[in-house]
Amino acid sequence: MSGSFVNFNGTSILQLMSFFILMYFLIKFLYRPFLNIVDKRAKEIKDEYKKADDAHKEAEALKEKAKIELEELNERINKMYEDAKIRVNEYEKKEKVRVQSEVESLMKRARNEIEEERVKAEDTLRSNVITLAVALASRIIQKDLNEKSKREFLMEQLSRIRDEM
Amino acid sequence: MTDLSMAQAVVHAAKYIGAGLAMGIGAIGPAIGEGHIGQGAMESMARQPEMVGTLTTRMLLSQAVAESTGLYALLIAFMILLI
Amino acid sequence: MKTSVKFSKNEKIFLGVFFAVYAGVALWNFDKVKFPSGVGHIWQIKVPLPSILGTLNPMTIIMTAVLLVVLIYMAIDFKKHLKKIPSRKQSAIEILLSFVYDLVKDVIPAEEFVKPVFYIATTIFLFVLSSNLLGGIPGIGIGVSSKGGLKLNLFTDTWHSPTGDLNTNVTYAVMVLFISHIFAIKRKGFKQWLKEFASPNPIMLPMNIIGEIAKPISHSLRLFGNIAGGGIMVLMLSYLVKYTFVPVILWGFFGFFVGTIQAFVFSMLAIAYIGVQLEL
Repeated sequence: MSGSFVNFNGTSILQLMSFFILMYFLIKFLYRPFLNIVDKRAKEIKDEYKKADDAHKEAEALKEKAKIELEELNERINKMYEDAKIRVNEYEKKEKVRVQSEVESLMKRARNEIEEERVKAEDTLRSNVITLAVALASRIIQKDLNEKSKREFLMEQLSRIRDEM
Repeated sequence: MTDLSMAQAVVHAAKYIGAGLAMGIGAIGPAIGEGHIGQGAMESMARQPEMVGTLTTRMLLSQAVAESTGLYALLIAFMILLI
Repeated sequence: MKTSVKFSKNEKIFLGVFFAVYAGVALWNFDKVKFPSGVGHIWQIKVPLPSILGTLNPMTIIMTAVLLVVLIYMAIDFKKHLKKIPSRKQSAIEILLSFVYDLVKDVIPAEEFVKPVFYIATTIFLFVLSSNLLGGIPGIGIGVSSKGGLKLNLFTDTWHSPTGDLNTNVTYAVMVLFISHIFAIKRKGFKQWLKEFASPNPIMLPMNIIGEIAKPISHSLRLFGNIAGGGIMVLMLSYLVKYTFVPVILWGFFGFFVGTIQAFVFSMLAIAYIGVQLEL
């Protein structure tokens, strides 16, 4: 049996049924897995992005922290440096004072010693002069001389004494 | 074809004439429409050469839609001719 | 510059056998080519038992069943070999599906209807596309001879495509219309949906109703005209060139090029009709 190619009959019902059968199976085997895997992929990529972002943020935070620590450390070093400077200054001052005092004391001692020596020398000189004067006197007494010779004699003697000293 | 009566012969002749007229007149409208669409697409392609891919797709789509009246004419011609 | 197309051994064997069979059948047909008198008529059977079915087009039903099996097999294969890092086949299917999904997402204004519309539109698209592509491949079918009897078409015609039958197209178009109105009622509520028919003013009521009725008619006849008309035209041109190699090119044009565009247009219009109804 044949008919025109433009027709409308019971085949349409079968076509409708076949459409829904096809849609059911395709939803089950094609669309759901496809949408699931696309969603999963999108979610995974988003997660990866988030992870990378978090890591980036963490790194940034760590950087900030390290910066702060570095600043603190610098401050501390500066402080220590200043402290050391001050201490060194103080030490220097102290040392100076100490050295000065030592030097002074040394100088004092030296001066004292010199004084002592001088006193001693004066003493010896005095005793020498006395003995000299005594000797001179004894010579003058011994040799009765005139005024002029006396003075000459005296000068001579004195220069001799100075040379001796 | 020799044993046709006069009426049958007239019907046959009318069939062929009708099919030819249907197809010929029916093809005018889609031809003008498709020409317009092609013109517009070409002009916009010349203006924006970077949109060629999208414009080609859209052009084919609208031409397929504009062609449908011509296809109705073709269908009618076939129905006159063959059935 | 040396460029060459390379075929593997199996492909060479397949192509050789195919062209040998094709040339043989063409030569065998050559001297007895008559005008295809049965063109415009299709095989129909009457269901013997009393039922709502009435008459049936067996070729359409057979080819629909074959397509269903093939599509479902492909879907199962897709699910079986589903991987996070896609293979070539999987990514091709994914590109196709995501293309339709993006289209649906752009057109449909309501978020909750995107998935159902995607299911419907993609099913329509896949079925219509594969059915139209069948119309571009030479194949075996049962036609009608000049005296109203049946005859076997052995590679003198393409496979019978289900969309070349008005039943399929009208069914799908009317189904799209019903689905769009069901979704519209779900989204807007019954009263609002009724009000939409008299939307600018009550004078426009008949115009709106006629517009709604005209939608499935133009929707279905466009596809039917393209596929069936293209098929008949190819048969006539094949007769003019005595079934030599030219029909293959014509079948390719009408089957692959027109078929792909029409499948896209059909599903695109289905999405657009549903999207228009869903707009508040």
